[in-house]
Amino acid sequence: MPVPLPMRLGPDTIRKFERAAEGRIDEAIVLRDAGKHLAALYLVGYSVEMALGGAYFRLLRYGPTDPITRQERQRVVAFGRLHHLMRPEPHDIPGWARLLVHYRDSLGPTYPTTAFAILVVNKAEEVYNYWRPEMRYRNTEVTSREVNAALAVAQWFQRQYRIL
Amino acid sequence: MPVIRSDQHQIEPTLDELRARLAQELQGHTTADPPVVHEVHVQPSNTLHVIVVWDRWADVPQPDRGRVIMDAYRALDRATPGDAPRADRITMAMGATWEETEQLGLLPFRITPNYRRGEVDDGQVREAMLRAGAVELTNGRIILAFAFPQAADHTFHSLQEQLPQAHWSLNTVMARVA
Repeated sequence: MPVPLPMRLGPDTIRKFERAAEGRIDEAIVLRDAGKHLAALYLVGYSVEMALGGAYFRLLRYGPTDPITRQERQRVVAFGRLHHLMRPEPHDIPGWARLLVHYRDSLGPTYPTTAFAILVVNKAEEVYNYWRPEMRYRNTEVTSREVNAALAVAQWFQRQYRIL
Repeated sequence: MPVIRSDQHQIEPTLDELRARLAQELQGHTTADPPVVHEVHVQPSNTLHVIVVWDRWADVPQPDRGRVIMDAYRALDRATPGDAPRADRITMAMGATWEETEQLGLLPFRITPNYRRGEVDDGQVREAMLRAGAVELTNGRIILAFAFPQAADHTFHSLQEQLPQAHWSLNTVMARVA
C-alpha cells in the first residue's frame, strides 16, 4: 500500500528547504511561460523564504538533514519578533533576512562587507513588495514585469545562498 | 525642532547587576526574585537554545539582554573549568519578561494541578511548582510553563511522583506565533 502523502513529506530539513527553493523557481518559470503570472509569483516568494530560512538554520548549526521541528521554527520566529526584526505577519521574508544579519552581527561570522548585509535585507524587501501569502486567495492580475522582477531576486538568493 | 537625547551609560549599572545575578543563578546560587532559565540541548547540532524569563528585563533593550545572557554563561564557563564549556554552544539567547513569553507563545507547555480542596495542602503545591521553575504573577497566580516538551514531560513525571494527590496535567497552549 502506498505511504500517504502527509507521511511522505517528513520533517523539515535544510536540504529539503534548499531543494524546494530551487524546485519552486523551476516551477515558477514554467508557470510564467504559460502566462500563469500570479501562481508563478506565489511560488517565487516561498522560494526566497526557504532560502533565507535554510541559511538561518545553517547558522544555528543544524546539519543538512537534521530535523527542524515546528516548535523550533516557532521559537525562531518568536526570537525575531521579540527583537523587532520580524513583523507580526506570517511569512515575513524581510524578517528572515534581518534575522540572518542580526545573527551574524551578534555571534558571527559577519558578512564580508556591511554593504552585502544591507543588500540581503534590501533584496528581501524587494521581493516582499511583490508577494504576500494571501495571494493564494486572490485572482489579482499580476504583470510579467512583476513576476520577472521577483524571479530575478529569487535567483539572486540562489546564487548567493552559500554565503548568506 | 525637538531633540531627544539619551544616555547609553545610564543602563550600565543595571546590566552589571543583572549579569552578576544571572551568573550567580547559573552557578547554583539562588538570589531573590530569580530568573527562570530554560535551556535546551539541540541534539543533532550539539548547540544550546537559552530562554531567560525574568521581569527584570522590562527596561532592558533586546540586544543587551542577549549580551547579558552570553556574559553570564561565559562567567559560568570560567567558574567551572572542569565542565564542558557552554557559551560557545549557544546559538540562541533570548531574554523575555513573562508577558512577552505569553504574547509570543514562547512557553507553550503547561503543567497544572487539578486537585479538589482538602486533597492536598495549597502551600505544598505552590512550593513544588516554584521549585520546578514556576512564575508567580502579581495577582498570585502561579504558572509552570516550558519552552521544550522534554523538560515539561520530565517535570510532569517528577511532580506526579512527589505529589500525586495534586493530579497534575500537562497541556499544550496553542502558540500565537504562526
